[in-house]
Amino acid sequence: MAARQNRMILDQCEIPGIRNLAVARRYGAYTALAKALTTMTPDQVVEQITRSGLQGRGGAWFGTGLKWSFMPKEPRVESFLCVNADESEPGTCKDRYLIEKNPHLLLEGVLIACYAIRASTAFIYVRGEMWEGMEVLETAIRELVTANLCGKNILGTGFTINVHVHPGAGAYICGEETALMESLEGKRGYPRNKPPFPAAYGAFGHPTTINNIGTLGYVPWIINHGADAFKGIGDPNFPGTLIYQVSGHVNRPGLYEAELTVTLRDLIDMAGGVRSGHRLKAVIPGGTSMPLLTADDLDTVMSPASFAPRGSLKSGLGSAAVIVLDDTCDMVDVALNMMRFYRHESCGQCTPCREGTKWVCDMIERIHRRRARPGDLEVLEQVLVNVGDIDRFEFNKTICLFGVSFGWPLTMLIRRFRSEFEAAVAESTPAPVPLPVPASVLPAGDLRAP
Amino acid sequence: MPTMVIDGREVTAPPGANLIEAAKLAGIEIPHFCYHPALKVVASCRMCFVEVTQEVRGKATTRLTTACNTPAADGMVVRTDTQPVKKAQNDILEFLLINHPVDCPVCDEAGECKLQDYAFAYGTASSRFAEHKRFRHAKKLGSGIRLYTNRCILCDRCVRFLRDFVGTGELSVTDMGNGNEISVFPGRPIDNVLAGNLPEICPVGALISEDFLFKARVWNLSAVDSVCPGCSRGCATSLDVKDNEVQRTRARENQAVNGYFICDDGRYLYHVIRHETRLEHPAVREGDQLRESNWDHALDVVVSRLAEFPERIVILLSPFLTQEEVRAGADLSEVLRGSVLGHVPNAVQEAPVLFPGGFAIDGDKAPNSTLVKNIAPVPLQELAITKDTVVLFFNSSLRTGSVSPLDAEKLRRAGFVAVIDVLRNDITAVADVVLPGRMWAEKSGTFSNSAGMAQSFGAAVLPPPFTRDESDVIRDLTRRITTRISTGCGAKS
Ligand SMILES: Cc1cc2nc3c(=O)[nH]c(=O)nc-3n(C[C@H](O)[C@H](O)[C@H](O)COP(=O)(O)O)c2cc1C
Ligand code: SF4
Ligand code: SF4
Ligand code: SF4
Ligand code: FES
Repeated sequence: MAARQNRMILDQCEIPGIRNLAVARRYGAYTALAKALTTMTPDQVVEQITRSGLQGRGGAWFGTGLKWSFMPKEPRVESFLCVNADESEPGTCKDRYLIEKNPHLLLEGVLIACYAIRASTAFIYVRGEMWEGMEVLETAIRELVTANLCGKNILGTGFTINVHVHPGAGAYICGEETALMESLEGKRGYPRNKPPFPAAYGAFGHPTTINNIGTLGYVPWIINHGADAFKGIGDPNFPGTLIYQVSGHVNRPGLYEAELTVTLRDLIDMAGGVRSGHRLKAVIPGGTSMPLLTADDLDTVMSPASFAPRGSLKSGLGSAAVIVLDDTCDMVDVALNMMRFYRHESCGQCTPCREGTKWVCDMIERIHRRRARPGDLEVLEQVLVNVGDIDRFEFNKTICLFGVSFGWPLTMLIRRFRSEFEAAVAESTPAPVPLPVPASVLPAGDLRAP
Repeated sequence: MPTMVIDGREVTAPPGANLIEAAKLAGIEIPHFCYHPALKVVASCRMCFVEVTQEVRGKATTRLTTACNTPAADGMVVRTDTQPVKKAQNDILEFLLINHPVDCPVCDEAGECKLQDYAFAYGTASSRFAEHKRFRHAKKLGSGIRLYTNRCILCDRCVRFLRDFVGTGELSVTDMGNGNEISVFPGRPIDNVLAGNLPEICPVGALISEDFLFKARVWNLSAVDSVCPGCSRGCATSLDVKDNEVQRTRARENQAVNGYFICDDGRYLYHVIRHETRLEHPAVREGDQLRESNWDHALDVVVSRLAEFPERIVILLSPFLTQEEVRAGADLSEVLRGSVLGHVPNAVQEAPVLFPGGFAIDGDKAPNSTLVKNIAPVPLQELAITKDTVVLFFNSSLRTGSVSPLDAEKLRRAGFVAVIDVLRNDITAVADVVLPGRMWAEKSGTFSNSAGMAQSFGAAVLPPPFTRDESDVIRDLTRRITTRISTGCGAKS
C-alpha cells in the first residue's frame, strides 16, 4: 500500500488569504498562544513539548523540549530566542515556503517558544536572499503588534515579546547556530567552539535557544491538541510529520508532507517517480551534506531511526531535502558541483576546512577535466578523511560540522561510485606539477600600500 | 586545583588553566599556533590536538580534543603522543603547508618560526600537494609592518591582538573561506604604539618588521636580557646582537611588569646607540671652542676645578643613570665634603597610556626617576647656582630635551660645568668639559621602575672605544680627588 501524505502543516498553507491575520485567526491562529499565556506556566509548555517528542527540523533532530529546558528559569540577564530561517542547504526549500505562505503559523510558534523559555526578544534570522519572506514576516509582525498579540502586554497578560526580523548576510555557514549568533551580533559568521553552549552563552553573551523556524510551526498544534495527540502521529519515536523536499530527476518535484514512517520509494512515488526512460541512480536524502544512497536503498524509512550513527547507510536525514539523481548523472560532475559549493561557503576559520575545501576541489576539478595523475584518487580520499573522518567521528578535527558536511558525502560518493572516478583517472592525461609560487619577496614597488 | 595525568606524569594545574599551560608545567610542549596566553582563545588552527580520557556519564570515553580550549579538570588522563594525536598534528601541518610558499631561505622568521619548527618535529618532509598554490601580494600595513601574505597561516593572533588587546582593531579578515586574508581597510593603516609586537605575535614570517627586514639571520644573533630605558615602566627586553651591533629589540616575558609585550618607543630606542650625535671623545673648552681631548687631561681639568672651589661644588644626577651610578654619585658627594647633591628631573613627560589588555606605558620617559629622587631629592631648580658654582652633571640622557629649558638656563649660570653624557645636546654644547659615557646596552646595571622594582640588565655590545662607564669615571674622579687630599693639595681640612 502506497503511503499517503499527512498534510497537517501544508494544507493550512494553501488556505486563500491565510497570510492575513484576520483570515488566519478565523482558522484558529493564536488560540494556542492565548491558551499558553493564560492557562499554562512556561514550564508546563516546556513539559508539553518535551512529552510530545517534537524534534528539531533544522537537521540535527535534537529534542525541542529538552533544548528549551536548558534555559535558565531565573535568568540574571535577558534570554533570547533565535529563529533559524537561513535555509541554505542545497535542496532545502521548506522554510521559505512556510514563511511566504503561512507566517502566522510560524510566528505563533515563535511567541509560544519565547514564553516557554522566558525570552522577551526573538530574532528571526532570515536568509539574505529571501526578500519576500522578510516582507511577509514584517507585515505579519506589524499586524500582530496592532492586534496586541506581540509587543508589550500581550492580550493584557503582562507579557512582553518583541520579534525582530534580521536579514542574513548571505552565507550558508550563517545557518550553523553559533555562526548565526555571531552574524547577528554584527561579526563575521564564524562558528564558535562549544562549550560554552548557547543556553549558557548565546547571542550577545545571553542565554539563547536556537530553533529552526519549521520546528516552531508544530508548536501551536501541540499546545492546542496536547502532547499525546502529537505523539500518536506516525512513529512514536519520531512523531509528527516532516516536509520532504523532493527535487531532481522526478516528474513532480515539490514539497511532500508525510509521517516519518514513509519510505524513500514512497516519496519518489509521491513525486511522480523518476522521469520516464531513466533509471534511478542515487538519492541524496537530506541536503548535499548527507551522504547519498543508491537505488538499493529505496526501502529505507525516511526517519532518523534509519540513520543510526554507526549504521550501514552512513548517512543522515538532515533537512529532508531529497535530491533524486537518475542515470544521466556523471558522479564526477556531481562531486564537482557539490564541492564548488563547499569551497565557496567554508568560513575559513579552521585549518582543515579552509585548506581542505580548496585542495579537494582542485583535485576533483582536475579529475573532471581528465587531467588527473595516478594516485590522485587515493590522495583525495585521504584528504577527505583528514577533514572529516566518516568512520571515526571522535577524530573529527574541525570547529563546526561544515567539515564533515563535505568530508562525509564526498567520501561516500567516491566509495559508492568509485569505478566512475577510476575511469576518469584512467582516461586522464596527467597535468604537469605546477611550479612553486614565486618567492614572497617582491621589489618594493610591487608592495601594495594600504 | 585540578590534578591530572599528562603522558604518565601527574600534574596539578592552577584553576582555569588550559591543557597547554598544564602540560607546560610538566615540561611537555603541546604544539600550537593560534593560542597565545595574552589573547582570547579561538581554537581555530587545530594544531594542539591531544587525546583526553575522561569519565562521561559514568563511562570512560576517549576523544581527540584541542588542548587550548580544554580546561584542565580533575581526573583527566591526557596523552600527547599517541598515534591519533601524531596523525592529527601531521594532517594539520600538511594543510597549513599546502598553500605556504616555504621560502624560508629569504624569510626573516626562519629559525624562530613555529611552522618551521613544528614541520620538523611533527610533519613530513615531502608534500602530496600538486595543485597551484594560492598567491597573494605582500602589503605594507603601516607602522613599519609588512604582511608577506603568502606566508600567513590565518591564526588570527594579529587580529585579536589589535582588536582586543590594543583596542585599535586595524586588522581584520577579509574575503571568505580559502580566500581569507588579513587586511587593513583602505586608507586606514595600522597606527598604534604597540604595532611592533606584531612580528613577534605572528607565529610565522607573515608579519615582518621593516626595521629588521633582511638585517640578519636569527641564528646568528645572540640575545642579551635587558631592561628598557624608555620610560619608568622598565619593560623586560632582549637585545639581539650581531657584529657588536644591536639588530633588534624583542619583548621578554615579565608578568610583573609588561606581560609579553613592549611599546614601539622602547623597541626602536636601540637606534640611539649608534646615533650620529653620539659623543665619542672627551672634550675640554678652550675659549669658546670645545676641543677634543683625552681622558687624563679632561679629568685633571675637572679635578683641579673641584679642588679649587670645594665649597661651591654641585653634583647633579639624572634619572637616566643606573642605580649603581646614582649610588656612586652620592658617594662622590660624600667624599667632596661641602658639595651639594641634587638631581635634574627628566623633562620628557607624556600622558601615560593604558591599553584594554592591561599593558601600560608610563608618562615619565626616563628609567630611574624614582631612585634618583630618593637618593638626591633636591631638584636643580631648588639649588643655588652662581657664576662661582662648579657643576658636575652626570646626565647620560637618551632623550633630547630631557633637561628642561629652565634647568638648562640655570646650568648656564654656573662658572664651570663638567658633564658626562652620551649624545650631543644643549648642555654638552655649553659645558666646559664633556665626558663621553655609555648607554644601557653597553654596560650592566639596575633600574628601579615607577613601582620601585629593581631590575638588572647586562651589557649587550661593546661601547665606542673612547667612552667610559659612568661608575668608572666616578671612581676615577674619587681616586684623583683623594690623592690630592692625601698629598695636601687644596683639600679641605
Ligand atoms: C553547516 C551547517 C549549516 C546549517 N544550516 C542550517 C540552516 O540553514 N537552517 C537551519 O534551520 N539549521 C541549520 N543548521 C542546523 C543548526 O545549527 C541548528 O542545529 C538548528 O537551527 C537547530 O534548530 P532545531 O533544533 O529546531 O533543528 C546548520 C548546521 C550546520 C552545521
Ligand atoms: S569547519 Fe569550516 S565552516 Fe566550520 S568553522 Fe571550520 S572553517 Fe568554518
Ligand atoms: S614563515 Fe616559517 S616556514 Fe614559512 S617561509 Fe618563513 S620560516 Fe619558512
Ligand atoms: S599574519 Fe601572522 S598572526 Fe596574523 S593571522 Fe597571519 S599568521 Fe597569524
Ligand atoms: S592552539 Fe589550539 S587550536 Fe590553535
